[in-house]
Amino acid sequence: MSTRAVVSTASADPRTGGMRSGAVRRWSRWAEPALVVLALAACWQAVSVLDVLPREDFPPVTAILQALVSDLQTSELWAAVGASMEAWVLGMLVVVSIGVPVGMLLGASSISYRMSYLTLEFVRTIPGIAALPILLFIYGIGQDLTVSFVVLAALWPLLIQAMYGMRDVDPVAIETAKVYGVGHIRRVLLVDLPSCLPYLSTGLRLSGTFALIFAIATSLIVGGEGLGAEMARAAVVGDRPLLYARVLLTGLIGLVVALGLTTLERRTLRWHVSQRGAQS
Amino acid sequence: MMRASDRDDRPTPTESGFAMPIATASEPTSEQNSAATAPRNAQERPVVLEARHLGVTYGRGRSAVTAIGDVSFQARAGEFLSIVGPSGCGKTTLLKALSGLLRPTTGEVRVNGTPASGVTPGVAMVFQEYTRSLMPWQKVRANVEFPLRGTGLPKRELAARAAKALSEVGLADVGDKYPWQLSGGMQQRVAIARALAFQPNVLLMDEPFASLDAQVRGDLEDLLLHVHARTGMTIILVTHDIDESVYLGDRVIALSHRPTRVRTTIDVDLPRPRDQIHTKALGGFIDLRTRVLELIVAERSVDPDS
Amino acid sequence: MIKKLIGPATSLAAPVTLVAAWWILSAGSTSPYFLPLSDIVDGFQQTWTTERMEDDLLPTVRALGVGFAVAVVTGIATGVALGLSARARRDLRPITEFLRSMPVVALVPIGLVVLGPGQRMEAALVAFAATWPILVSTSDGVRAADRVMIDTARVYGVSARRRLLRVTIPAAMPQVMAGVRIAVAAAVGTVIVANMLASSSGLGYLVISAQQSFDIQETWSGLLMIGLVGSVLTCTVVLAERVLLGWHRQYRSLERTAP
Ligand SMILES: Nc1ncnc2c1ncn2[C@@H]1O[C@H](COP(=O)(O)OP(=O)(O)OP(=O)(O)O)[C@@H](O)[C@H]1O
Ligand SMILES: [Mg+2]
Repeated sequence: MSTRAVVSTASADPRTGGMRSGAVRRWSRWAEPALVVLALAACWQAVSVLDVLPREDFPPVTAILQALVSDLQTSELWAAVGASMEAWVLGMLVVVSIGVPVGMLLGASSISYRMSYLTLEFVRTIPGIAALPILLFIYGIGQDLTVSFVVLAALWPLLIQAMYGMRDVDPVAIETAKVYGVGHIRRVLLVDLPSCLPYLSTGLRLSGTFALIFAIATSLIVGGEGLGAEMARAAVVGDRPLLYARVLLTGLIGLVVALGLTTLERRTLRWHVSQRGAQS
Repeated sequence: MMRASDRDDRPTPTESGFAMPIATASEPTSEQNSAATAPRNAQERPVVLEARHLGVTYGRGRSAVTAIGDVSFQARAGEFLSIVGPSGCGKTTLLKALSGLLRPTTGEVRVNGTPASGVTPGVAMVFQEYTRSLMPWQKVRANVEFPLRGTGLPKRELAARAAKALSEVGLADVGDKYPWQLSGGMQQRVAIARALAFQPNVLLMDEPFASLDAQVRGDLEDLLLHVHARTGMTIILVTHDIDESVYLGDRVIALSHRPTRVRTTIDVDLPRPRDQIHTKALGGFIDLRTRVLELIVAERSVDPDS
Repeated sequence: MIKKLIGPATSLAAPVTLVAAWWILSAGSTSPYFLPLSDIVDGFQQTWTTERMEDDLLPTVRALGVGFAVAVVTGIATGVALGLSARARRDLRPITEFLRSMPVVALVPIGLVVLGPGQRMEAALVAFAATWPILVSTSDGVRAADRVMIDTARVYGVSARRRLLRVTIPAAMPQVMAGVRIAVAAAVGTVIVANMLASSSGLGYLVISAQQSFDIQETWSGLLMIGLVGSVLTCTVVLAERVLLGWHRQYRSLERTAP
């Protein structure tokens, strides 16, 4: 019984190897997850149509999809998506241009690192959302508010990762660079930055997902233009299928952003590992 | 059968059933006494572990690696088998298959004459990557006691066994440290102590002394000989050190390159008890290690990679 | 001895300096939004009467506590299950990826529709938001548990249950705790957003309504309290981590100093 577990991970089991051909396994790799999704959708549909849960609150999948399709054809929705994504992009630009240099600077010396890491670890756990009212005083409702809010909330993960990355730069590499008389700026570019890269890409992923949450949250809470405001509107009108459709769309956008950032992260990590392998 | 007469000096497990727990034999038994009841001929002892046309292939399709081609051998009760072979030939894989951790792709492992399914009870294994086999969140003593916990053994007995095993490997006073606070060689000794405390019927060891300095290594080799003589457990030891394979073993099995087969089996007809100084000075010892070395050099010359 | 004191001293230096700087720099502030810190502290004392705490702090803290506890339990349990089964991981991947990258605020309107306003909805949202970081890092940790360690336990005939409880889960523990730590921020943020959007009491409601009535002092009091709640929860998690993972801290520091 318990042997099977290891053997199947070690792929040394003649039984599974013999019976399931490569094609079948390739097929099941895509089909099984897809079937799970379909089955869940079917369950939802049944639950809703049969009124197991109030149909009012849980509209059938078909109705949600219909609402999504017709919603996607309106220009208001695209304007809202555009506004949210614009805030995300602008916010992330600011986050990168502040977080990377400041984080690397803090991580560069062990004194500044020790002085700041505890504070920063704490700051990151304090919800950025708390700052919203104060920002609201300053900026009023609008894109400025959203961007500054995104920056405030999403800055910390990247900054902290950049700091950790700097702590992890191989001292031998630094010494080597010094011995060969590599200048300060070149050293940052040739030694520090590349070896921080995996940390930076992890930080970017964390910050990017945070930033998206806050880009949407702002317009949901205070109104203005954005995906959040569209959701709030659908909720206010009481159009449940539309509400679900917009939440679904938000989830899909979140998924795309997360997958993109994860792919980026994996690329840099793999590059890093292969570089390391080549060096040693 | 010149081997038989050389083995009189050891007790055999047959007299107390196959398993002979260390605890009951903890008083140093007079080796001459127990020799009286030992079978004269080693061939009379039952086969405890057998590999029959064993083959292991990792992966499938184009990326498949045949680690073991076709390996067959028998280990009799109380026997000390040394296995040598070129690096990467599948020695670790072989031990995993013998212990039941890994199911062979072809052939089978037989335990006491019946085909093995799953992990064989009463087997202990000292892994090559000993650092990774110790649990960093448990202190040394807890690591040694770990396999015994949950077996219904009384707490006192359990603690006593662990303490004894630790002192046997010369680590009586580090029980309250974490494994990672010890040197590599000490960690390896902890892993050995854990195996000894378990009092297995069959002990599998994967290059256990590879990272130790010569002094400690010699001491531990002798400890192993002593434990073997006292308990009569079956030991299968993988090593890349030819002197060690001859010094410790009753037989040396030399493996070929991948796909791995048994190249030769060499009977080691050196008298026991053995000791570092005298055994290694014997003419027979030198002849044997020369033979094993020749085999390995010959194997190296057909190495496809070098 | 001295070294022991210097360690915490340097890490405390930064926050102390920051607060001191804030105090001094804001002392003469006439900006309507950035009050002198002394005024904020005064306001904090005035705002947080016992009554106020019962009305606005307690509901939030309760929802937060319940939701977070649920998240820890479900996150670890599901994470372990997914970490053990490659097939479950693969088959559920579209769902887990979708749900975990779902910006949790988007669920507030649905939570309102389904559960109505109140602590039940808040706790449910907190649980949802905080589960994912824990689940994902637990699953990673379980997967990364050392093969050799598990094989060792198997050879010695340790039962599957004990292997899971005594080897796999302890080995995954550092990563589990890292996930729990990330979850704190998600949980506190979520409860505040839910408060802001859908409640008539609670911390989030307090700051938003104070903001809307331009009561700046009270807004700051609310902010300070939110920060405090977040800090206390983080402290609790860090303490739990110290107790559970005492070995790991030393282990890691040893690895760091080793060449
Ligand atoms: N889990 C695995 N998956 C795929 N291939 C493996 C796996 N484990 C081992 N191998 C391959 O099988 C072969 C034998 O490996 P094994 O570790 O058994 O050799 P070894 O004789 O113990 O080597 P060494 O002397 O270095 O300890 C190697 O070529 C190795 O690459
Ligand atoms: Mg090996």
